[in-house]
Amino acid sequence: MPIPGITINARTITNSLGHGVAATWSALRDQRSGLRPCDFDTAGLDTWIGRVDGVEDVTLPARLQRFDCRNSRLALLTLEQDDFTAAAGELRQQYGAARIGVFLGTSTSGIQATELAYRSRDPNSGKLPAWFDLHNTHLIYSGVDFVRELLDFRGPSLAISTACSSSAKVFAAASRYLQAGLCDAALVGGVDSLCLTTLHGFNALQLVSSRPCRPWDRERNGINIGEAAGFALLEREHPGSGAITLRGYGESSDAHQIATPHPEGRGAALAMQRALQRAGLGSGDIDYINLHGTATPSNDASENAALQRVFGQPPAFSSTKGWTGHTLGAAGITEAVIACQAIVHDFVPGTLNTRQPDSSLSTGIVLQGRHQAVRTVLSNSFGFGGSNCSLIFGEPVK
Amino acid sequence: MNSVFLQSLGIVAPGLADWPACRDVMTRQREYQPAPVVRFNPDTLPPNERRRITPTIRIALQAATEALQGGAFAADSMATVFATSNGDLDISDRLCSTLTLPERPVSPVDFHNSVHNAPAGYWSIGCHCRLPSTSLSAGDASFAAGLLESVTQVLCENHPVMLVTYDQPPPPALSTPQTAIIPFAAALLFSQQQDDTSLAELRVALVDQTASTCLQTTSLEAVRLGSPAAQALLLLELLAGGTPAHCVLPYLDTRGLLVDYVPC
Repeated sequence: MPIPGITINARTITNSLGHGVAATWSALRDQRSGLRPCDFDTAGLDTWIGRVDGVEDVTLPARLQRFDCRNSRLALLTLEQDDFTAAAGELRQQYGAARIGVFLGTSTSGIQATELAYRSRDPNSGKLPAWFDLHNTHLIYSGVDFVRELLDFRGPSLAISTACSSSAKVFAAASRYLQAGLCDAALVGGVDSLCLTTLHGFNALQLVSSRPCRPWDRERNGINIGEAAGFALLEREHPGSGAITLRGYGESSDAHQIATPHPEGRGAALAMQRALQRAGLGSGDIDYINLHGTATPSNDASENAALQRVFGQPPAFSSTKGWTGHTLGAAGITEAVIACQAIVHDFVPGTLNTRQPDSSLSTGIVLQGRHQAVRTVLSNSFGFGGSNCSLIFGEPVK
Repeated sequence: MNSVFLQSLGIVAPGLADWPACRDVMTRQREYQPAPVVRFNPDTLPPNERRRITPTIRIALQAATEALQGGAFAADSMATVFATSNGDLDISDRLCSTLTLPERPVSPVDFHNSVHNAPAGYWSIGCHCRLPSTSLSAGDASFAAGLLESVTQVLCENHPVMLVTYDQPPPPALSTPQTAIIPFAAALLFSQQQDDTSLAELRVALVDQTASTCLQTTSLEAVRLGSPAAQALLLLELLAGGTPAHCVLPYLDTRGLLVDYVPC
């Protein structure tokens, strides 16, 4: 069934392109990448990463020190951009703290704190250092707990952790809670920060590229891991508010394998079809598709099969992973906000680093960003475990 | 108040091999005797996938399988919600230990199982089910949050939802006073419509009331307090009682999730 109109009244993202929405948007306009040769921690891998400058210098408020870890710092840094905290405060004034839900996605939460703790284990007892706080850094709910305390939002809350679809699925969850009347407004978003677990984990699966990633390219050979955070405030639609709307969401499972997408993109196609159905739109109504587009051989082939199944020849489409890297559990919110900006600016971002599109994939991938009318955008996020989510955003309701 | 119908359920915990065993203890048909959880073999999974699963994934699938077999719904007809407080800390322990070694020989299987939706992924593979699945956590409120999410999905999406809640004791290095000390998993299958097989109508609502309830089956209090997921026993005890009753599950801050139980 169609969702009641939901508007996005404030939004912010921070990633390797910079702090705040404008930094990302100007980089997308200027063909400037956020990727760099891997210089994170002691990773020592021959790959490129999307690291956020300044995370190390962030200090959490004294009362919230227990949450201190790279993930919380990145969350705080992000919330301080785009006047977001002020908008959150106004929302709290308007509805009351108990009526604002918090729905955040993450894949690895603050596991980097655990990595550091294991390096400092007592050699005799094996005990972890006293500073280590499992519940407030490592466990997947810790980020939600931190943000609730920081913003004093007290409504129904949860962390979603479905790998790389995490912070797309929060839009679906929040929509349902708004529809069910469990809250009047919702903070959605996601945070995933660099850690050795994902760098070495994806390396062990031979999925990281030693070069800047090349989505849809015939020589694509893997991802670049990035870190990012993003947040948005959702409310039920007030016509005339001038805000971008969430038109639809579609969720599905691949039921195929944990670490490889369905080769024919069955699950991905279902997610897109369900999003279109919920939005009450046909495939011809979409102006731009922001691909999941990770630049692994299997993802791009699978996503292409799904696109062909749903769209035939798809409308303008591109992947922004060449700018930000694959920000994993934060990819959904990062690309959701890029989708909103595409509508605001009537601009389709290009696909960085891609030189020769794979001729076995759909033609027409947008390589150079361009102006065109963008009223409706579909954004794809697919994750390990076969977890898929597609979101559709639309221009403001008059 | 939001109302759904419970169609079937499953449980696994030390000394509670399945729902009939749990119900017998709750109805005083037998004494509770702690006993190790018997290793479950999920035969719906292809052998190569079956070999890869961890103890955490295993108990989640065990409870879900009992609920599936006890209901009248096809395996590919239900969305799923997986709720955990701790996640799979055995894997975190292995990954973080490996990352201290010079060559950092991370196991590809460990890494691909490290995603919190691994139990959900294996379940969907075994069931050939392409309906949506959400893996979530809300700390110590994870069971209540999973229940609220499941009810919300049933009402908004109009498809049956299987809720699976689970937690395993972590390895010693990651144990804290709040982490699980016993393995526990429970699964509850909900639908929007009542039918001949419905066990109960459940109505849930958030209330400004902390969870004050404790189990009347005092012999199972140690189980309830032994795992964040085992707050599910508060709800299961209503079912065992068989007469209209309610409980308040611990939720966030000072709120609770009120569950009204009406047997069908």
